[in-house]
Amino acid sequence: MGIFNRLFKVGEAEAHAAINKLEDPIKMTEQGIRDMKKDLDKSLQALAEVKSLAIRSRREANENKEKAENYEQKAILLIKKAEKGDLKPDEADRLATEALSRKEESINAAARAQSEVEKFDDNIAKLQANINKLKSQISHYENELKTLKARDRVSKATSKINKSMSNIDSSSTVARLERMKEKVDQQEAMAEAYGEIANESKSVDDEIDDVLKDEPKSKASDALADLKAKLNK
Amino acid sequence: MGLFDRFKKDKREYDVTDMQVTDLDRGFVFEYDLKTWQVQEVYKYDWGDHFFSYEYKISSGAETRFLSVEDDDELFVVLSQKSNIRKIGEDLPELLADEKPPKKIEYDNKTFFLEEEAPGYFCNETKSKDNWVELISWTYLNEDEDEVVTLEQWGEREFEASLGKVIKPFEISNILPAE
Repeated sequence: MGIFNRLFKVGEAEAHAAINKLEDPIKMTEQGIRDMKKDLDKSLQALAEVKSLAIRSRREANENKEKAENYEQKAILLIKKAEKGDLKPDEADRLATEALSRKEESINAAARAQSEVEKFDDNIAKLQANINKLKSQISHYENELKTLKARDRVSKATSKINKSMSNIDSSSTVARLERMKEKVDQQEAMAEAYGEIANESKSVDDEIDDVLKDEPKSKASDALADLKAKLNK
Repeated sequence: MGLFDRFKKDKREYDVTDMQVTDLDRGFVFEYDLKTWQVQEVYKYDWGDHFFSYEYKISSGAETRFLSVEDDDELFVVLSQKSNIRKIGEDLPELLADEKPPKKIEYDNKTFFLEEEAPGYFCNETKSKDNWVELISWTYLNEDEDEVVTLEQWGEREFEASLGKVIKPFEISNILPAE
């Protein structure tokens, strides 16, 4: 591998590392959920549209069924009128035939609308299945996000505690105590040293006093008596 | 579209995974009583003191009803249909015109008690969001408070009535948004 290729690889690796540091898994999951919700919104709108078409077709089917019944009633009335002599039989037959023909048209229209309703119902079932899948995915990711957030909080808190436990730097309390202990040790050492120096600089008198300090007073009195006796000789 | 138009909210926002009856808008579809209904028109009522309620004209294809949604601490949802005011009480228009609404109404072997009298303004948002019309509404509830008779006065001598039943918000299910 040439030197430039290696340099490029190093640069690439560094760039990836930098991007990895920038990526916040929580924010990325939240964005993912937002995107999925947008998709779900579009799917729900599509489902609403198909359901609305189904409602319309159902209404058309009902209206045409009512129309068909109405035309049949009219045909019956026309025939009855002819039977009563209120209408010429030919005219009644012509109008009744026309009414029955319209009844047939209405029945066909109702059947067509009913078949559309069935097609829409099929589409609704398929769309609903996709929507349920998407909803379940969103719910899964939302739960994942909750877990992720909780883990993040725990990890941050643990990291903080660990840092304060392990990170004994110059500013920490433990370090201050250590420094204070050192200082006390130093002071004690100094005091001892001064003591020794003081001992070394004792005068002869001091030495005498030192020797005599533990002697009982009677001994000193005896020495004085001896001294006086010598002088009197 | 101008830059600032992006920030205008002319649609109420909803959570697509948890659609509520308060999210309903024109074209929205929902299930109620094993039927699919679509919102055809949206009406807004202004009762003063920044208190608003909504009513939706809904259709299942075979039937048309009105769904009223009032969010006053808790949701009060009523499904109703128009009725002939004189069928409910023969003298009602005259009594209301004389500002003498009865304290109770006997209808369909039930007694309805006057719950409230509320003057307000009505707007058919589907047609125009700026056109407000004045009205007075009288609400009567039966003893169990699950059936409602609503009387309305529009203008000097125009009266309307509707019969409704109080439903639980969860009975409106599978709400789907429209574009």
